[in-house]
Amino acid sequence: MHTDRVVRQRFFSGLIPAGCRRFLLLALLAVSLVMLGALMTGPLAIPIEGIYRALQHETDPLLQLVVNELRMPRLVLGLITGASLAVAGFLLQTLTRVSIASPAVMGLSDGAGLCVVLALFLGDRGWEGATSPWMLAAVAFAGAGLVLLILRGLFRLDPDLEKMVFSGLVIAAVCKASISLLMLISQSDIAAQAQLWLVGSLAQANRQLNHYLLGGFIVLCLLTLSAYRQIALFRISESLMMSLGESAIRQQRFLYALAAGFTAIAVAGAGQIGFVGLVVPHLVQRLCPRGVPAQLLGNLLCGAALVVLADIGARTLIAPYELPVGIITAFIGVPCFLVLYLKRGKQ
Amino acid sequence: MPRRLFFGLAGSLVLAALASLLTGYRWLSPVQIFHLMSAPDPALSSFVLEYRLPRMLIAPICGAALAVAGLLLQSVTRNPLAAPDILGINAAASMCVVLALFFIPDLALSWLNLLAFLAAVGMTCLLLLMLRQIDERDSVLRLPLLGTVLSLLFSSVTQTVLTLDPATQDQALSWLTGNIAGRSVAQLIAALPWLLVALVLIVRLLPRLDLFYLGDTQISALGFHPGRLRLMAILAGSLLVAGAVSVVGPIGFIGLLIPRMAHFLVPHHHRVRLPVAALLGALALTLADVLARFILFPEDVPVGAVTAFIGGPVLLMLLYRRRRLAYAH
Repeated sequence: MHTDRVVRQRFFSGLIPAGCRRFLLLALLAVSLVMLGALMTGPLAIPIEGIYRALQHETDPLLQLVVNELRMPRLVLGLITGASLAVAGFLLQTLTRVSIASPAVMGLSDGAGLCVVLALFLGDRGWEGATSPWMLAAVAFAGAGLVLLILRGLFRLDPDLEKMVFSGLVIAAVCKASISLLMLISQSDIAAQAQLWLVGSLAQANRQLNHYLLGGFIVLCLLTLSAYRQIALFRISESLMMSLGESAIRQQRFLYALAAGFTAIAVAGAGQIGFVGLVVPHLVQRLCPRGVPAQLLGNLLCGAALVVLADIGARTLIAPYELPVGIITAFIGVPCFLVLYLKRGKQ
Repeated sequence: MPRRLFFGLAGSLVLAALASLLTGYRWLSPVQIFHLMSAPDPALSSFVLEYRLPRMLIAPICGAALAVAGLLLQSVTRNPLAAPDILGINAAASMCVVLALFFIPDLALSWLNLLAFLAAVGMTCLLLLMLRQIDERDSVLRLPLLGTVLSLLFSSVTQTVLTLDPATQDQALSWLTGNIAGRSVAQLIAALPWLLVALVLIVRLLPRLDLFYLGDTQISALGFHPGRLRLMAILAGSLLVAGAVSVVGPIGFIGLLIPRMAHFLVPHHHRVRLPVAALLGALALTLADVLARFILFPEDVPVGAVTAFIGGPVLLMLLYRRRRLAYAH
């Protein structure tokens, strides 16, 4: 009985080191506060008890509509997107060991975005199945995966992984050119939708899409958590990783595929929200330096909180209008990036 | 060797310009152009003057400007990957113009040009300030990575303004997409003063550009002022970028790849390399513009997309082939 409890305690303290618990609790608190805030704020300010009643379907239809049909899907999409991007960035930074690796910087978001816009375009030209949520997520995954395959194919044997990241940016530029070309020849309201996709926005959140994304997200999270030992190995040292031989390469492929999957979920839901995948992993690394499961959890929570917070800002800053959430994250992210990148040079 | 190269390039440029004048949705023959000079046919002459002639003039001038700007940046930063588009200078100029048009609609073209120039200078100086923190023992990729991520920020600001106020898009169109079709000679004339001032600066600078093969301390030991030289080169480059971008918009990859090609053909002496780069840039953009008419045949493709589709894979191959990227010394 006693030993059982000790073993259990050891197991959990191994998963989540003592120093990180407070951080995780605070992050959880932040996420819940931000969630409440996202439901309460907007053109129609709703007090807490109003939200509670609306969720119980006990209030007037207008409030129910606003809370359940408008703000809730948006909130859920924001949570999923932010968490996915942060974990994708965490995985990419772990695998490449480049401090600024992230889905947007490595061109994964743009590859996924290009494929999504292509699917919208095909849907507009009469192929009905192309715009179903399932299909959008699948093509986004294909796009992100393809970019990763090209990068890995070219630079697998190259020790300079920064070069690989930069090549991702080059691919991103080509993808952007393709997207604007598609927008130019589509000549319909797809162009406006694609424009939103280019910056990243939560405005097109809907329930049906959220269900698919949430399902995929949970599966990916479980897969990532199941691989936490491997992630820890990759974080310790490259030579250790190499000395493990063939299986390490397979694990690496698996983790890259997970990163592509997370990126695809984020892009299929909300377009290209930049800099979340760049900044959040660094923040988490600073506040919770040990324990991969704890860091994964921290990334999930902080990413979700950041995107939902940015979305609150996007909806309220210039009140009657709405900013795309991508610009808020860009304004938060770029200064952080500069500080990170220039500081490392001094060391 | 350089002389033969020079004449070869000039000859191909003339041929490409002819192709730019004659081919496209409507094919013309040289005979028709000759007839046009002797006996004016109003329909044909207005077609040539409005559509073909501007494209024939704009493409080589702007291509040369972008290529030379790239060469200057690469020389003074000693970084083989520096270029107006990679360093975010194009994106900064576009962003400033779009923001200005958002707050003050119907701003005059000359003001916009001035603004684009200021943005280009500001952006380059900002990058150089950051560059002072960068050690040359670090990776060559630091500067390009910094610039590209900053240009991501700028383009997201631009996109946001466009989603907020779609009317701005029509006014700022020439700063947004790299395109030559539909640009007028008037825009080119408005940009010419900038390009000419840049030319004067470059002529003064040209004999001293080779100094940057040395380190900064060696340059100052020879009695020159490296900071001042660099600033002058940056001013010239920014003038070129501002002028070119105000006409054709942010066209990528010309400013990066053409100077590399010139470096490959003429390894030493900026005195020779700079004109070669200018000719190559002019040739490349003219050919890309001709190609843009035939990719999706009846419709015109923006030339920026063509350069991205060709330049992107070429740059990837360059990065792949060059196992070790190093600062040029």
